[in-house]
Amino acid sequence: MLRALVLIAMPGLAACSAEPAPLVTVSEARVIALPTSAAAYFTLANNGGRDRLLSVGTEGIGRASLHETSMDDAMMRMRSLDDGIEIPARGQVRLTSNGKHVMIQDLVRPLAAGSTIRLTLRFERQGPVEIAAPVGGPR
Amino acid sequence: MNLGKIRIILWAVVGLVAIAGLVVALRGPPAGRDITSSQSMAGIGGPFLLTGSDGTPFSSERLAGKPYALFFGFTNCPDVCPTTLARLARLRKQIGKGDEAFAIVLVSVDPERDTPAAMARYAGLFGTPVIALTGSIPAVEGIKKLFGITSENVPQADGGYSVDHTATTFLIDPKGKFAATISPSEGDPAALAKLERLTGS
Repeated sequence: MLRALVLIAMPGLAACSAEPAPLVTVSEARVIALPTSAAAYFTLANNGGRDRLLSVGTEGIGRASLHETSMDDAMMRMRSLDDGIEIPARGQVRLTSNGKHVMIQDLVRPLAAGSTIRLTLRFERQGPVEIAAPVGGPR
Repeated sequence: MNLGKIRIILWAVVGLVAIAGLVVALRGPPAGRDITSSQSMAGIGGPFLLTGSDGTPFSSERLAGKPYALFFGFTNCPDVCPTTLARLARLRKQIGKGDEAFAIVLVSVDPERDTPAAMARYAGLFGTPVIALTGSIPAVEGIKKLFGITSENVPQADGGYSVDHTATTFLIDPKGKFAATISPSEGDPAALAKLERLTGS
């Protein structure tokens, strides 16, 4: 019986070893607060296998979604990243102004500069990661 | 050299001249694009009447006698718009002539949501004077036309909308004449050089 279980488990283990576990760390988090909306930026460094940032939770501060700003000639365009943000194996992704960012809309209360908010980053493989992000004004 | 050979050489020369002529004709006049862009720049700007962040009419005449940097945006834009305005504020500080060096003017491309009060709250975030203007839909359409601004409301998955828009900053001289543009992709040194030229630094 035991041997049968091991045999069943083996292919599963083999699949795992083919794709190393992700090891994503979050740094340089900051939030730019406006009266009704905010943008959050951070750097995702992956020391393991590929992963994907699926969504960001704000614990009721507002609705957060992943967006990318792009310049098309002189047109500023903003699109939601419905498939999330891919973090390649041993790769790094920086969220920056005029690039990929978290947009927080419909703030339930204005965010005070100098305060800190908690964000939950939900990764496809690594699961949820909670971070603290300092709030600042536009700069 | 016999006559037959000379005839062949002459026909070859005729052929080469014809090919060269065709190449020149197909390439068209040189540098046509530059001529077009400078011509279109000449017609940019003009007088406008909008609504100030105190809710009263704001005419472009109030800006006469002082240069200004004009930018189009909307208050629900947390990424590009504040970045652009914060950069103008930072560069104004670098010029070192105080807030009088040039005015920073923001015009809403989202007049349906951007009330004068919303514009006032937004402008108050930059720690430096920003003239924030909105207006009726026809008034905003009017100034957009003057500066060749295009904008488009883009629905979001959650029912709201974002506004894609031209993100160029226009520099206007003290006589109210269009002087130059700054694009968001330009680095700070290039932008600073243009603002210094505008303010006579």
